[in-house]
Amino acid sequence: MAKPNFFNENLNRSYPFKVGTVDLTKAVAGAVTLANLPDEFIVDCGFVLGPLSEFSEQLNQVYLSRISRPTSTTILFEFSCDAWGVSKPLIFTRHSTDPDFTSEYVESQQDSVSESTDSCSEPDWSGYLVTGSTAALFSMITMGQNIIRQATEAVVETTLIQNLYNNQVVSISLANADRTRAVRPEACPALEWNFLPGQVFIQTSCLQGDLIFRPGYNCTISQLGQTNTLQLQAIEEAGAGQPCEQVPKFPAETAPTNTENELFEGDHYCNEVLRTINGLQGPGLTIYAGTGVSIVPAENELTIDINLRDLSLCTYSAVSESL
Amino acid sequence: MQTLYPELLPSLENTTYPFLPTASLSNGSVFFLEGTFLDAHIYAVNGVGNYYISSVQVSSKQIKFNLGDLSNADLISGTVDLPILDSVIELTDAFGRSAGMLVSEPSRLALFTTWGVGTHRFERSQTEFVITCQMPVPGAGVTGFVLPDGSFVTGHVWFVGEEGVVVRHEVGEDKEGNPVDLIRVDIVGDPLFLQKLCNPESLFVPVNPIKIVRVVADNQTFDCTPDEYGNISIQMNDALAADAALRVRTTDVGLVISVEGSATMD
Repeated sequence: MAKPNFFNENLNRSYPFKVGTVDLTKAVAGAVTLANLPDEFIVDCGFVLGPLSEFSEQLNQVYLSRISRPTSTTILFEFSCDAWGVSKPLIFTRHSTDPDFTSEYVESQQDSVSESTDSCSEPDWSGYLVTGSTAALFSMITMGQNIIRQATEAVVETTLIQNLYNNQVVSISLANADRTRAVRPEACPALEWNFLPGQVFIQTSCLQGDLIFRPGYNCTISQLGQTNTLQLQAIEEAGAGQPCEQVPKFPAETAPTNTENELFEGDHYCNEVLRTINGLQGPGLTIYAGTGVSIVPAENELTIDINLRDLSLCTYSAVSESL
Repeated sequence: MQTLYPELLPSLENTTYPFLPTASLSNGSVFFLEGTFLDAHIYAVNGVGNYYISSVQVSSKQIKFNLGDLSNADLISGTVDLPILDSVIELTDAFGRSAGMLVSEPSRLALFTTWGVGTHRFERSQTEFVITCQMPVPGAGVTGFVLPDGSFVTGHVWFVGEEGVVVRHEVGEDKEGNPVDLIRVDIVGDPLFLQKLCNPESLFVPVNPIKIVRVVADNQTFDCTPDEYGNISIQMNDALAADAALRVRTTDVGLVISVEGSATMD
């Protein structure tokens, strides 16, 4: 006698479901539920939970959530997962003409709502299903029947789940936080940009495949093979050297519209403001009136009067003439 | 009574499964019984296959199973606390990422409580798992970025340049001349960041700096602007008189403008 193979054996046992979650009682045609799901319906399955699935072995499970027969020749098997990152079920289709032990591989459909991340997302999850007797399926499930899971039925064996959550970098996106921007005093007109400052500006999103790091201005990048580490260092003049112009935080960044220079910050160049007088720097600088001099402030004006105050004057003095 | 169609796990209890049929299941001092484990599912993200139990660490509080592969004897591990209540031992890698499971029952795992406290090591030939328990993992490339504090990030990862660092996307060429995405890192500073750092709550008090010194002399007006370093000089002019009395002195306390001469004798 030929030894029964794996699928044949599974026609008569709960596998791939956990024992006690299916085939609890004998099902009759037209009254199939997931609690009494006949063993011969499904003989094998397996699921891969993707890197964004947030699946946890302690908290989550995969289960058959629905069987339906929308047309006379089609039966749908819907598997679901209660992990937070899995939003769509996997739906397998069987036709009345399919041979016994038909297998099918399915990936979850992408969620069209979050297009920005879906353009480079992995499927939430994927799986395969091997059904047993096609004749039994179409004889037991009647046209239009919709069998929905109740509570704790039809739970897939945990060893048939491969959990890849947190197991890979799916994509890399680049962005820059805003630079520190100048603020004008209250009495002055506020700086105006043609964009909203203070944001994180997206440079590009969803880079995938082989990527190369390039050291730009004042930057070196080294690879430490021993520790599998990329080391980025700030070193003056390294990499591409010093920039000749300001580096924009995003391609369309411009200076404020109401300034005289092109500084992105809205500030002043070093040579546009008085940083020192005779080498003395502020923020407060005192000018003393010594002997023979008076200094009179008025608003934004200093009058330095060389009036020879407190000095002995001679009628033939040439000092005052030289001034 | 013989069960005609036993469930999967009971059907495996008297076999060496999930170990290879050729595995000795013993290191000479301790041994696994057939049926100690009923099933296994191993898929370490950085593993290369040929998984085996490299050691079992028995302590008074828990039993730790270390699994290795061809390249690393301590690639993944799983623990079960004492007293044993769990049937499934979850396996994780060094970063806590799921790497599979060993399936057993508390009564079967009780075997390990009979082993002495300590570490029991095994060779691959003694405890290698069958290939059907070892699931290949897609070559995902970079599986995560480990941060200095030991945590790691995966999934959709964002690189955000801030505090003077700018990251940009460029397209370059690889050695074969094929286009390749580049991540360029520029370290250019943030000129006003020091002020932000000192007073992050209110950023900084806006200043209204002096940009021009305007000199008004009689009917003439001169605008003096700073040089390239932002400096301006106020000097006395001694070109017209060798004995000029005007003095402009720079002192520690400020700029002193005075005239040399004898004080009034009162």
